[in-house]
Amino acid sequence: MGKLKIKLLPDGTIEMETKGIKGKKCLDYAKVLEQLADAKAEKIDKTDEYYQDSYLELYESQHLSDN
Amino acid sequence: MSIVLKAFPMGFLISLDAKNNKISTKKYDLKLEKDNLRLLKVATNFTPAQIPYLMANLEECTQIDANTYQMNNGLNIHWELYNGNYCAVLTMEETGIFDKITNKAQMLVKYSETLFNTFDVILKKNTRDVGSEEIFYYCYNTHYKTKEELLELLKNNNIENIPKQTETEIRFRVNNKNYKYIRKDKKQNFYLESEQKIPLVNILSGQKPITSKTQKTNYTYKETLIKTLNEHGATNIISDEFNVTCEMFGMKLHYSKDFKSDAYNLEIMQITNQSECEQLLQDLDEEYGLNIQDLTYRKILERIKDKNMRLESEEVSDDNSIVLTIDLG
Repeated sequence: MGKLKIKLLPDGTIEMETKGIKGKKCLDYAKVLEQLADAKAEKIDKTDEYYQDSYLELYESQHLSDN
Repeated sequence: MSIVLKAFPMGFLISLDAKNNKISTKKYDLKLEKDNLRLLKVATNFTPAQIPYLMANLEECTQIDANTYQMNNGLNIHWELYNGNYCAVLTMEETGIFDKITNKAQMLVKYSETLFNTFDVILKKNTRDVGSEEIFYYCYNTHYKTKEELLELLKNNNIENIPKQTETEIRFRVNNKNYKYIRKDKKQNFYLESEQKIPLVNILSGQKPITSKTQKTNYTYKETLIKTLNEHGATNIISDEFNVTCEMFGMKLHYSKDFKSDAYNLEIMQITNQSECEQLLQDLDEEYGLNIQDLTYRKILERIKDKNMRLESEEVSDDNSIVLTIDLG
């Protein structure tokens, strides 16, 4: 299973990075952080890894349907 | 897959743009004209027994009722309790032989000064409450005749903080200043009354009065704000549901909740050193941020257990950030 790396900055703001979470499920963890910290996610950036994995998911599902 | 995100605890106003932004000036920030001064409120350090003694020692003074006196020069003195102090409410008589006085605003200031100088001589000390503010009320005639016209006017100026409205009086606040439209009977036009508070220390030292500094903050948690103020050595911290006031380094701070944004607006009074004031505000910002960081840290550690997560590691980095690595199990 994956991990959350949560950085609490001295100005009170929060940064979080998800690690090793498969699929678009990692987006759900923005909500989890909001609940854990009584916070509101303001800016979500998908990393290169996210797009790579999305491409693979799409490719795999297309490949399966073609067959 | 992974994402990175930035989040703001609810202890902050989400938009950090609010930080250090001055409240926009609306046209209700009237330029106060000396000639429009109609009433003065002066806080004193009198005990209840001293007032009859002092008034009895004034020459040319007549008692009108239990708390009201009139001087032969037309100065009215009404005593009332205000914020725990006996306060002199000073006006110039508007009727009778005093109709002929054209410069009533200047006479009001002059006669009030003379009155308090006399009090100082009688009691052999400064009789005004040095820690207080003197309140100046300015009146302006308007052409408005109905409550509806005025409510429309306020609406067009985006003024929503209107705690009182009756057929003869509408009170509202803009930029932490009190205003009211008022008329004595329904036949008259409304007039506008504006309140200006000036720290007495500025008046006594002859300095140019410093208008209270007002700015928005991004603080939303009352408890964290009070903790921050306490840690900075604030005294006389008083709070209610919507306000927090305190004193710090000779300045008076008043935080009031802005219902639109949910954050506190700050009004600072009795600023004697501008750079000291700026430094204090910066320190409070930093301290509030650290308190929110601590609060968030404790919340996360407490709540991950309920979500079957496990704290794998924690470390404090060079920039004082706390980095938590959480195993999702």
